[in-house]
Amino acid sequence: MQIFTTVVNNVSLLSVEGRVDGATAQGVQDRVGSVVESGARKIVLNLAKVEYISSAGLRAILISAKAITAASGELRICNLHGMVRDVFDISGISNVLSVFDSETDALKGF
Amino acid sequence: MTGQEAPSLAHIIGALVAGIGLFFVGLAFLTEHLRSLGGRRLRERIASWTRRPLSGVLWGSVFIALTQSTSAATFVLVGMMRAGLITVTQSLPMIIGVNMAAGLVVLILVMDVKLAILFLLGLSGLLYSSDRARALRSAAGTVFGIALLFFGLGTMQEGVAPLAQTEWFSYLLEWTHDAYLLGFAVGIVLSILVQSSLAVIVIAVALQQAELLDLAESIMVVYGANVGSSFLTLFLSSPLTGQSKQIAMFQTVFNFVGAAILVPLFFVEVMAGIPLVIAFIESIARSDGVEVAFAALIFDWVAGVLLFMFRKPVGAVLARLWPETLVEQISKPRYLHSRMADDPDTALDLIELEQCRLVEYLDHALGALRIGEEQRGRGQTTPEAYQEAFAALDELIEQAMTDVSTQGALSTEAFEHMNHLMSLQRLLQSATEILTDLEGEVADLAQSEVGAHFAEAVVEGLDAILLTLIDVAKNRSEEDARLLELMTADDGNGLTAVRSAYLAQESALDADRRMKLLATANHCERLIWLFGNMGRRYMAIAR
Repeated sequence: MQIFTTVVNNVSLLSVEGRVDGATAQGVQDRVGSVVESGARKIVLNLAKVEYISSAGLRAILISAKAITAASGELRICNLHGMVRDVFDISGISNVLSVFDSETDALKGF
Repeated sequence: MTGQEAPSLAHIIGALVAGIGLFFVGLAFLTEHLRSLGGRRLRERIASWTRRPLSGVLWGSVFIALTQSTSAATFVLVGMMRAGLITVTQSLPMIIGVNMAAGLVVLILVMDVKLAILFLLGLSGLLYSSDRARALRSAAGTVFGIALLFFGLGTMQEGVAPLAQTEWFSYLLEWTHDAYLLGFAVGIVLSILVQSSLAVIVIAVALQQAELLDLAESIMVVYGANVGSSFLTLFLSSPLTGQSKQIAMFQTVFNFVGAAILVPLFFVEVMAGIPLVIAFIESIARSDGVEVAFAALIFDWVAGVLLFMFRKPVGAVLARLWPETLVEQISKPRYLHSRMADDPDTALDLIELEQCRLVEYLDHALGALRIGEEQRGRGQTTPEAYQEAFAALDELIEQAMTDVSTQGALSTEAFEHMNHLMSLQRLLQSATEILTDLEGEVADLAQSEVGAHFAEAVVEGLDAILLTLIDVAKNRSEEDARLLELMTADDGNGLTAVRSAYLAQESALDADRRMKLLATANHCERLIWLFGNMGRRYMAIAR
């Protein structure tokens, strides 16, 4: 799994690639944590290139979202597709987090 | 047939079969009534009395007196260990005691206790069937079982005695005369067939008393019978794993150790004429039958003393070969104990902690549904195995709740707490049943690509909700509870949309798999509802 970070209009954009499972979930959590620590409060997680996500991956995203909210920030998720979208929907997390169809939509009004 | 005539082979076999039948009915009667007589409290008391190795040996001897079968006694100990009442370390001296006392039981059996057994059988039977003595029914049933067991053994003894009068048996014995290894093999086979080394040893006693076998031949039958009982335990324990297997294997090792020492000594004595065990027995016991009983006693005591000295290293090797399984970890109570009902408030807290363990382990059962070895990883158990462990712990939790509620001194708050715990237990029971059903459906869906994708999403989605429920159960944070509420809300969960999307791909799934997909979605919905409900119960307890 790889995570690429860019900053667009004061929003930290984290593009995740590969599998987010028990072995890699902590990596997502740590990266979001370090971005928050560096002062970022507006974060978008782009999952367009994530082919698989496990419950551990979802949990890492939920914990990250809590940490960002606690720091008075906001996490947005975008580009869910295939199995990843299904897992978000079945777990009800689509209803908990701010989920957008595209990166443009996620960045809009942030 | 006149009184002088030898009974037919059919009569002899009939008596043998009747004896075996009575023996096992007696054993079943004894086990059933002993269970209802003592129940959990008696077993817990025994567990507390076996903390020290030597008292464990003594209690093991009580077990053999009650069960009359080393294999049966071993499996009773396995049951106690599974219930968390004794540890493997506590059970090993008990197994030694079981075996050492088994030799003594043979001695008692060769004594003439027939008259006493007849009285015992009659009186306990009358008491058992009497409507006026209902309170004593379990005790009477236990005594009746013991008496029936001895009566069965006596019937067997009397049954084989007339074999001396049959021609074919004399020929057979002549043929096997001095063929000690054959006697050893016969002992093994008979012990496996009648499922009791004690019963075979009693037959050997009868044969020696009837002068059909000499002492040396009888000894080899006894040694064989003991080894046979180990093979029987080995066979019966084949489905066991982990610590249960350790206990069963210790019993297996016991007789192999005895045979490894005494069989070579036997041949040294017989072949080289060096006086050893046979000479010793002849010097201390003068009558037939008693000599065989002494042979059985020596076998058990030699192995017993040796294994008592080396029980720790042997136990360590067994623990390495069959380490504790996850199921065993789950099924053993960590917080429940026998005297907790004395303080109902603390008891309810302990029940809650024990119950919380079951919620945590649901995650393992769900993890076992993952498709493919790589994905399964941490799911080290199957839903069936989880259900077995769940059933064991569930019974203990239910019993603990009954114990607390019958204390009679519960406050209104405590009753409310109890009500939530009972509801949680029912919800957990339902969730476990659904997971078992889900296993078959997921395995079937995994056969097709589209089905596998759906199953994968269901398992991960459900597990994400379950992980949040575990957070709620452990931390009772309002934030986690709100999160769980949103994840499990009827209008918030997106399962319906996902299910419809998959079913819309008509060409990708055949009719049967579409039905399986529907059933999976249905079970998934039910689990989501159960998880949400459990979260609300936990928060109600916290408030």
